[in-house]
Amino acid sequence: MAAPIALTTKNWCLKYGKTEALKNLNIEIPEKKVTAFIGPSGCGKSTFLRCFNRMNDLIDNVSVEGKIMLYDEDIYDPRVDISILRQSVGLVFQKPNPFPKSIFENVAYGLRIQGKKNKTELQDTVEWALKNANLWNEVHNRLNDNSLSLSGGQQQRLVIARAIAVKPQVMLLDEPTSALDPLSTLKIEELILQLKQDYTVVIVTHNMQQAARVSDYTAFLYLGELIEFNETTKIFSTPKEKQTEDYITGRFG
Amino acid sequence: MANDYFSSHISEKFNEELSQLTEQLEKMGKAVMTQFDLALQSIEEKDPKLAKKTLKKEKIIHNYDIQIYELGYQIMALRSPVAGDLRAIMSILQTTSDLERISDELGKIAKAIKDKNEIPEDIIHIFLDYGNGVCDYLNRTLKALNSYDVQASTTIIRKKKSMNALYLESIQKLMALNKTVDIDSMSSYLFIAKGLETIAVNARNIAKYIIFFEEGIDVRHQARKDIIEQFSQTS
Repeated sequence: MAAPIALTTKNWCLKYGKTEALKNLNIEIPEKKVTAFIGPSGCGKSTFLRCFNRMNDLIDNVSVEGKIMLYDEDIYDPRVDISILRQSVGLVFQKPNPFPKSIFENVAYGLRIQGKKNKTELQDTVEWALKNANLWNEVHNRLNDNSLSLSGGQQQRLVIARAIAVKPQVMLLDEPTSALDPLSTLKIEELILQLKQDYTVVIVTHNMQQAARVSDYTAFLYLGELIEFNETTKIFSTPKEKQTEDYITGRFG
Repeated sequence: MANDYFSSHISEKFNEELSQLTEQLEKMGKAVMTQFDLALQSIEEKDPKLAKKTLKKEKIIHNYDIQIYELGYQIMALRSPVAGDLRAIMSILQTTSDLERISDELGKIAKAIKDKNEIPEDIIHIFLDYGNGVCDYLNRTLKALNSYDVQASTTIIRKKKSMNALYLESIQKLMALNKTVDIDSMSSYLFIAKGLETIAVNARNIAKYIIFFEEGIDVRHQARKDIIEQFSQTS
């Protein structure tokens, strides 16, 4: 049976001023699967990813058309509370961005914003999130240390723990390993595979092999258009579109 | 697809490696055909020296097998090929393996000829009729391989029935001579016919790898009629 759809875009367009960055994108992203966006620099994959938690709202001169549904909720409906949306749809950036606070406070941050004050509840949730981000064993005896004392790979897992602490439905990962060494990258990839048991994951990556390793579905974007979207095994073995084949085999341009 | 495929990669080095792989495969195919011609000549001329020469060719084929395997393995390790590149390398490695098996069969046939002092003329005719048929079949397959021609490959697969018929005919003709040939010799002759039949099967495998590379569909275990239905162009 096909997985339920977590995110749907309908005729989605985005412009920076008069420049069309995303052109009439229609895609259905399945629930609790990993979907990878691939494509050359400037194709719009990060812009598209950031539409799912309205991060592009923060940029001047951006206009959008079409619909994006998170399950059956139109996330661009004016009545949507963006801070609640961003708890449901977490975003992890390329460069780890922990707050200059303790490890504990980083993970508890979103919970405190939600108004949770009960110490035991906070401790339990922080522990749960750090365990789910595969970081607990490395930090459980130094939760009060400054998060900036962690390595890059640990910081990225901390950021993921911070995002999952507020129990999102979707995790957006924008090139989450491009600033990490190969071993830290593998740890994050392992984590992504675990995360999909509970969350819908959408990842932007320039690393073809990473897309092939971690994702169930792959979308290839070029010049703001969705060229092909299919199961990852099909994209990397027998893509239907020549542009996809040319890109993934290095015959592009 | 294949015509410009091996020269269209952004990385010139990758283009060179892929071209090197296909060139080596073409040379290996030619070497196998030379070995086949020698084997048939050794049967026709009942010449143990030619049979010995056929056996010696095996070493050349083994060397190609090793070189192509190493290069393919290296490309897989260093380039992480996907899609058409991956299918090309897989098809080439599988084809190499089948060519190597064909060479082994030709070696076994040559050994059987070398070990026989006298082969009756009518048996030689049986082998030449069947052997030339299989040799032509393999030659057509290798031509299809050199141009990655799906239609020609489908024709090779289509001819399975007629190749099987040729094999059965040769067996029937051999068995008809049962009373005039001692049992040891007869088992050698049947062994030679079986070797030729195996070569035809290997040729058909190669045709299936060509389809896999070009179309991305694994037809190795598909029925002949299904393959023909899918890939024969209707005019």
